[in-house]
Amino acid sequence: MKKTSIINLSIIALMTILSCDLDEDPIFLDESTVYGNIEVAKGALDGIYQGITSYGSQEQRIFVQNGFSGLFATGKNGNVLDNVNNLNLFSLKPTYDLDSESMWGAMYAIIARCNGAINNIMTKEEPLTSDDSGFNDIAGQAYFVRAWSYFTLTRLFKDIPLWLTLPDNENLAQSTTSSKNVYAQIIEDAKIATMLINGSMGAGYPKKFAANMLLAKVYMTLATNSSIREDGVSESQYWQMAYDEAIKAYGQYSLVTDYETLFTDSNENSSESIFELQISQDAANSQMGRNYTPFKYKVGNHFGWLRVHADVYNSHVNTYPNDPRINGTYLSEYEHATNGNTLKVYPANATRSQFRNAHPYLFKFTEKDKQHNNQYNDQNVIIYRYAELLIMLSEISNELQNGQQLGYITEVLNRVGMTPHPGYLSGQDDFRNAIMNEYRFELIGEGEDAHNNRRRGFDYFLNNTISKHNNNSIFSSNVDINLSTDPSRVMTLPIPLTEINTNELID
Amino acid sequence: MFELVRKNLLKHFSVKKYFINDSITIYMKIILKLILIFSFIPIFGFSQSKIVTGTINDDMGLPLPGVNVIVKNSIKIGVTTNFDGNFSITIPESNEKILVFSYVGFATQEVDVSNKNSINLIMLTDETQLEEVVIVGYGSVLKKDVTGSLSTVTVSDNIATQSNSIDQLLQGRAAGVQVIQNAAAPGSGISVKIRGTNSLRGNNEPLYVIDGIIISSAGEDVLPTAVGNSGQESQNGLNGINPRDIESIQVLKDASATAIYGSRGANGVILITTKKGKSGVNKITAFVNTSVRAVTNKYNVLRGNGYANYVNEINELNGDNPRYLIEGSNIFGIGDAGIVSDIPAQIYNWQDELYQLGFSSKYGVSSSGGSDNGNYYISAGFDDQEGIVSNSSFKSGDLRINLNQNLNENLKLEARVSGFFSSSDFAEGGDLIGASNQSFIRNVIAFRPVIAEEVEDLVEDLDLSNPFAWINDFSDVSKEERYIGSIGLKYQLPLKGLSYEFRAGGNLRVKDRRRWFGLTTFNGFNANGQLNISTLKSASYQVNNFLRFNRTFNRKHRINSVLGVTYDVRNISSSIYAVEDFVTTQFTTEQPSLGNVIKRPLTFFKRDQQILSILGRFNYTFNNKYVLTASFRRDGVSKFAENNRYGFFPSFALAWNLNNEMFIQNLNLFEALKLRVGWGQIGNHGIGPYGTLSNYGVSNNLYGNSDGGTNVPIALLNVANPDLTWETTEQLNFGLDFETNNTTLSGSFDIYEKTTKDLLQNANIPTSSGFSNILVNQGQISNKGIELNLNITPISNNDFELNFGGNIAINKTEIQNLASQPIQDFYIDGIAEQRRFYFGSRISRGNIFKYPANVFIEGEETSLFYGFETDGIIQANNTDLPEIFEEAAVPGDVNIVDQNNDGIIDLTDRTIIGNPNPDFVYGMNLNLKFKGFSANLLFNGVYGNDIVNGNLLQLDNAEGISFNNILKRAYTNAWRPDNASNTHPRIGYTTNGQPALTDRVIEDGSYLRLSNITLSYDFRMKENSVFESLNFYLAGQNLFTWTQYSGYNPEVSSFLYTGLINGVDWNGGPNARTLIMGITIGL
Repeated sequence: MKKTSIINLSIIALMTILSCDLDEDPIFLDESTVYGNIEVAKGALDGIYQGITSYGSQEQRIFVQNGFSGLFATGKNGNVLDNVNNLNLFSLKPTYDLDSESMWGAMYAIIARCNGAINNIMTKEEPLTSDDSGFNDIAGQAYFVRAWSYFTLTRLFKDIPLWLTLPDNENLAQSTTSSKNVYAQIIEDAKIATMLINGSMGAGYPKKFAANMLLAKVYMTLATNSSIREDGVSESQYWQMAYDEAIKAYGQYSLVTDYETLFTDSNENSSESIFELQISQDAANSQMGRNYTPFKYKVGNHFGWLRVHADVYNSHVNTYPNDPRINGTYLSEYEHATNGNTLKVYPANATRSQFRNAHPYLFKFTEKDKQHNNQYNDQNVIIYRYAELLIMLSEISNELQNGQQLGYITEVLNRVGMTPHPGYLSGQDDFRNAIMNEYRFELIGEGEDAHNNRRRGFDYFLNNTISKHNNNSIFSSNVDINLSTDPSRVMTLPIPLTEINTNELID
Repeated sequence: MFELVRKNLLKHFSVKKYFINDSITIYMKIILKLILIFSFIPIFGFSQSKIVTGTINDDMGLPLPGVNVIVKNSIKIGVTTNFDGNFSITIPESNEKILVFSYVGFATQEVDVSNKNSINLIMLTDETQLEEVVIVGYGSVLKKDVTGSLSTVTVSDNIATQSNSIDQLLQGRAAGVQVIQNAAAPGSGISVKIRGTNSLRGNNEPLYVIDGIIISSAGEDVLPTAVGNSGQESQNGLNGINPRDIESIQVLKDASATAIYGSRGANGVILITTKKGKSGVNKITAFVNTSVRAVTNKYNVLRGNGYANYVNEINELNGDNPRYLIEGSNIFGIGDAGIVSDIPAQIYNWQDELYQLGFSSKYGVSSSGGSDNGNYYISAGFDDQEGIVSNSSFKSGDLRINLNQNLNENLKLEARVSGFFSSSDFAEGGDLIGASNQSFIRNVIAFRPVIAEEVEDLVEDLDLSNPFAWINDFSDVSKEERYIGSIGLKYQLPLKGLSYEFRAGGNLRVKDRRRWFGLTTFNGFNANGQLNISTLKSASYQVNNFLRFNRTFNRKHRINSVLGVTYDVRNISSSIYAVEDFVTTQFTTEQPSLGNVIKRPLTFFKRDQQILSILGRFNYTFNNKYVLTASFRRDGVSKFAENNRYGFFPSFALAWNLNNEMFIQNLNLFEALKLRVGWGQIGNHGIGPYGTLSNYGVSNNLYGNSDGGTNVPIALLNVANPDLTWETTEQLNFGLDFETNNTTLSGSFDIYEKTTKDLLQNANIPTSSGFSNILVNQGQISNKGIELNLNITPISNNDFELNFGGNIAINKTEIQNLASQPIQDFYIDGIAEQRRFYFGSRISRGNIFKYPANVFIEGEETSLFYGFETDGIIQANNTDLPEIFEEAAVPGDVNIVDQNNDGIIDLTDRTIIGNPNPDFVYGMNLNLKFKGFSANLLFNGVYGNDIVNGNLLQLDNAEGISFNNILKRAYTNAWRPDNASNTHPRIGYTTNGQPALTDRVIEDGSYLRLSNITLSYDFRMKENSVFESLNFYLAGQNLFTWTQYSGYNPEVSSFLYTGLINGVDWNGGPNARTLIMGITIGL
């Protein structure tokens, strides 16, 4: 090789090196691309809803909300009475609870996704193009989901960090905001949602009435809790505000004919659905049918996480002996999916000889296809449905004594061939007790029990849930959870350790 | 002689005169000295001295100053030549009249001067000494000119052929190098740590450079698909670097040695030089070895009857009927209805059942040779290893060609290319939630040993995830190809000593890893078959341009310098894909299209980085005594934002070759004696790229839609940190190298202090932010340590050689600054101290070990274990029962120490309960050779570290949950009302749900291991024999381990690269020993 060749080679090599570009060129989207294009932004909206279907915010949220309601027992972490969950969350003595910790992170992940959309989408008061409408709808839904998420969190944890922006490297921790201020933010978000949601996203996404229903729920909560009310607004005013919001959704939906089909694939996105998560086995995002299907009910693996307290079941049967909702809600006798044997738990097996047979399973989230053999299933998860709105309207009307209360509950009961029981006919207080129980009979396990049971304060919770269970006639310390009566423990969940360990602004 | 005495007397009398008015004490001393001096007079009085003068020139006729002229066999009689090469020396009459002339770089000469009074001598260059060069970063220097701290590792061919990976060569052989590997699982992940923890990020792996080309780190692997809770076993990122092809390894440790690697040198650098042929020596070598591997120890769990008794006792406590009827050695199951089975239960000891002998064999051949104009080295090998469970194996083949050729008088070509191909199957790596049915290792230990059901086929009929399921219905198959190649051109420029070098090379690694969960595994049953596919394509290349100047002026000034520009590109492309719900499970890993449900859409990850650097090193030696090295590197790295992109890393070092000083030479003790001091700054950017950018992508799963189909959801996946910048390590090192005459004793001693600031780490952040971590520069850490390396060769002759040695390294790491953390209450021994700290990552996703084990506190060592101190078991007579985790304690519970004496055990009672950092690591070796026989022993050890044996959380408590098996001691020593044990809690006590660690699972992790013993015999070959040489050897790896650790293996390889979890054994696999028999032949 000649000397000149070497020199040329080295010059070329040096030139190559010195012209190197050190800027990064990743293969992912950036903020402007995501929120600058309606199609990608729609993907971001799906990201928000997908966040709700994550394991922590769906399966574990359901587990926490039900476990902390005082109506359930569980065989998770050992099919025995003294497993860690029964001793802890389910007996209303939450201590370092893993599921609520996971739920906490997952709910805040949803909030972060909402914050991304809210902070980056420019909404327009008067949208001119379909894209403008689409962006408004997406932003509105982000406000709605953020409000729903904070509402879920503050009802469980009370004072919580309030994030309204995305974190950055100089802003990674927030101290807690008082529940009162969190509620103020929830109301603001939900109101904006009612204005922005316009249906552009089409089927499968909540309409603005979902935000109205959420607002009604919030006002109902404020009505019965003076510590979080806005100054100068009375209880009755809140009931009226709740009514005003709920009534906007009235008539926008209708009850499906067959109650049981609500919890099957056949009635997804039905006329009764107000806020529903779109689940697809192909999207592989729901293990509800694995976690909540009773032992050996189907071929695939399943854990049967939730059992309803036997006395809660009895209360339902005693109130409505022939209620078709019972078959859609509980399961106590079924065929073993592989060997055909009949398996029985309470009440089919009335012995209550051991924990594992002493309580009926919650049947709503069960995968109904007994041959199903994947942990993921297709069944959508309904968060808000019309029957609940009707019960709310009934409760609100009773508080307002506007004369409409019996009408709404009658609509709900007529669907299952029932009529309001005498409790509804004996004055405001009895009606109140009846309607609070009606939430259970109609909606048990669907996510609101922990909140509804506490909404009217500790004493109401103690008298109508805790004591009723602890003192029920078939209570047995060998198979029944003894619910805590300690007011300092039963009303809220502690902020999770992972948050405390990493957040210097929270003690 | 009389003259000498006279001078001495005068000298001392003059002293007397000077001190005449001083004290009597001084007089007494002088008198004593006089007595001493006069006592020698009789000796000298009868002898005649001789004065010899002369001139010394080099082979070019130039005068040679500084030549040592010593009277043979004298201790202190010697002079050095002056600037003109002249000397004059007086030889006492009693000494031999022989002078020894020595000078570094020249052959030592002895001259008989009994008949001469003057001589003129020509010193000849010592070729052997000139060859003592040491490979350093981007070049080589004479050994005597080395100023940095480095360890050289060379191993015999027999050791190399036994070894599967480079880490095995390093373990125990270099001071300050700590190696963690799992001997039982061929090809599993390794960790090499040099001089402690430099970074809290987790990846403290050194930089590996093969023949001048940087390759990937040990931790490089495919990404986990993150589906389910099954952990993906770490695999070795250094596969493909064949120990047999390695000529030598240099471990660069201090800043003066590593700063030239700039932003990647902070964890130390391992320079690997592969073999080359020798001129005129054509050689063919072939070897074959076969080995057998077996587990070394097992957990002592309950056997049949013990287990049956345990379960019956639990049932009795729970008010249930007994589950088993025990009749002698037969156990019969009892059904729910109380019906006793008429068929005896099957009894298994799963550890005996599942852990097998693993047989392996290796074959290889190499050929080397050369002429005056070039040389070659070619090798090829095949390796077939079995693990200690039947579905673990590692097969590989490799090929290497090294060529060197002088293209003309001034131009040399070097070419290196190697190819490596492997196929492996791994056992399951352990689950992330701690449930017994989701982990193979946990399953083997804790699965019930009594099978009372009528089970014909254990895999098909037994419960999900029985131990056999993990053998027969699980696969973790990897296929890997790796190519490393380089080409170098060296051109001697017209100026003497000046050369230009162009070197380009790269490393291409392609890996495909597939994990299959069949229907009898937990994951597989849930999902109706599950297949996870991860791929990796790691392509890196470097283009280097160097200008070198290497010249000696006037024999006194030697310059060795390099100036270079390098461009380093690393493009990593990964993909993950997971599919479930299989139409048929017949094809396991082979046919993903048979799966109905895409659990994880095919996702590509690109991680590209470019580094543009200018570097230089200047090495100057004066008079073969004083050496100065200065180096610098300026790196520009793509992964930081433009304002933080460039870093400058300087170093300076001085060395003093004391052995060339007269006063040392007069001692006639040292062949080499060198003092070194070095300082430098090195960087680290060992984070993934794109950390400064916001990453919007597809979140884990798709989202359904109202049509029954799916939508693609987009979400922000990280919190960007545009302010990310370098980690910078500053290091100061003092060292001493020594080697006695006849090389009987040699060694080195180093003392160092290094400080790393702006630590990069993936810090945990409050999950209320919507995210769980962020890359940040956080904190400052220091390491201080000493290293000693000794080698003793008391006997060395043609027939017999004995050599032994050892190394020890003491290192203390301290977190010096955590300014980014707030000052908060931190409880130590019940007192809230105001400290800056943060916790490590939680261990499991489940309830069993759901808390972090480690805490990082300013002013303390890293990764301390934090939790509850315990003091035996709460006894029945204890009337002051505390409230533990908001539940009233009962007798038989573990007695957690109430540090603040408030009667309540809660998180404020946590304190520091252990330290995973060793006090020291050490290695020892013994080599014996007697004629054809040789024996080599290598020990390595770690002392003073604690290990959290997380497995004991369940195994060491008679929990009575899910009928898991437990340790025998947990049952027999369980506290009972009538047996007030103070070692183990009551039956039914569980750690499930506890909020923090207890010291009950912390153990001493110290160990000493005989990591290798090789006995070999070289058969003497006749001249006309078919073979030129024949060597037979027997070897044992990992034969004995002395440790108090009760787990499988004190070399903890769980969470190797996380940084936020240290010293935690969580589902760690068993340890194994290997016996090897091999033959090496030369043709």
